[in-house]
Amino acid sequence: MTHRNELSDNDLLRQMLAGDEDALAQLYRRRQASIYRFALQMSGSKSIAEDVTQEVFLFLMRQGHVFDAARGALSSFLLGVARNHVLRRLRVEHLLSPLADDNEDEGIGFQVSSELCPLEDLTRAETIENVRKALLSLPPKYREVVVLCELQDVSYVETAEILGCAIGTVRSRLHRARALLLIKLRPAESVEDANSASVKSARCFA
Amino acid sequence: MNCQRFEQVVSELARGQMMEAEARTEALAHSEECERCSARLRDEETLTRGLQLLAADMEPLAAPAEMELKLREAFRERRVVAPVAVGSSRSRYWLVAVAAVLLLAISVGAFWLGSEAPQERVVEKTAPKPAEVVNGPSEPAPKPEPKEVEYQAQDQTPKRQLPKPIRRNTGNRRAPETPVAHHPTNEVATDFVPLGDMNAMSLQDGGQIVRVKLRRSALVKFGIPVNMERYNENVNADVLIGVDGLARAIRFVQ
Repeated sequence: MTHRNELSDNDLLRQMLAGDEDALAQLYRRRQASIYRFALQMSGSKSIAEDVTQEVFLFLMRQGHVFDAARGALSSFLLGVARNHVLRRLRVEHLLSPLADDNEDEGIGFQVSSELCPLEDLTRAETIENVRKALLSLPPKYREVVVLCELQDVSYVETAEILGCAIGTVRSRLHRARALLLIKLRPAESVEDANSASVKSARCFA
Repeated sequence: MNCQRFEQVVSELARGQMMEAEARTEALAHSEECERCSARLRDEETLTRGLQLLAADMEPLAAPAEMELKLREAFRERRVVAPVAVGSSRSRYWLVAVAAVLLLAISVGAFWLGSEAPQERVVEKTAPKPAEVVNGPSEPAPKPEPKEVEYQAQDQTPKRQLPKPIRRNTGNRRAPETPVAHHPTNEVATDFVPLGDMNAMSLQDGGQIVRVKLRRSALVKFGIPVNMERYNENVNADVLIGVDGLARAIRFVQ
């Protein structure tokens, strides 16, 4: 079993397609978490994340031969498949604005850290919740670049492969997404102040 | 650096992304001079920290453990099916091969009979019904109108000698060759040439043959020499249409 850990994703995929169940298990253990988290961060729903993760690996079992190593890494391929499934689910379930109160219980829960004092813990939890809500309120095309580049720590190149767009598009979308997030995270009065300030002050060219 | 340029790099600066050292120094210097850009950088850094917190918060999340079991089970089911599928595909090839041989045999038989059938038809056309009538009285089947039978029998008397060829046909199917029998088999055809990316194996999938007329110049594309003097004439061709409606192969007929 030790030697399997040293095998690349492509080797594991090849063995899996040849009928090796342990190769599937190894590949699953290696890649499931990032796929699950990606789906969860994109949808805000655990049930969708679980379904998508399962669909991705079922797809790999059935049509894994369509993967072309020359076009990118298997991890990118799997995230691309996951992305398609997530977007399809969001379209089907009309969850493009998934911040309804009845979804709260099913959504992402806080991971309360016992190492922090209660106040810090609360502040941290509040910050996370605010960021999560702001992220889920973004349009999918901006949300996915934030999830990939900021939360999944995927490079611009890989993100471009996953999304099937140019690196420049990834950069510009990320820039725009961060600007939208800042607006959503800013308190209401600050937004008003910012708006009035932006009206009054011209660009400085110091 | 000005604010416009600062705006372009502030995200990378706040995220700690790799960037040119000179640009980084200039951006930081600009943020110290410009209060608005300084606030902008602080906002970006706050956002980056928030996103990092969210990422760290979700880091331990993973799919439920039972999903692996489900997938393994699905994989086993698929794998059980897979060898059967491979076996069935092999047996399918054998079936196709047997079917092809049978088809060939039937084609040869049809070709052989086809050369004979017109002759039979000719014989049947020339063979008079009274021949049966002549044999009729000897048969056990009752005749409702014997008078008419007699009349017909008398009327067809000169043709009574014809039952002999009929008997010969039922005993031995190879009839003497006649010009009529030759007519449909006078064609000479090339082998089927696969079209496009079809291979020879795909020809075994069967299909329908459609007779078309092509310019003789089309022969050149299939490597068949063409008499340039008859370049504009038409030539017959059989196109093998697959079950999917695509043309799979072509042969030329003369």
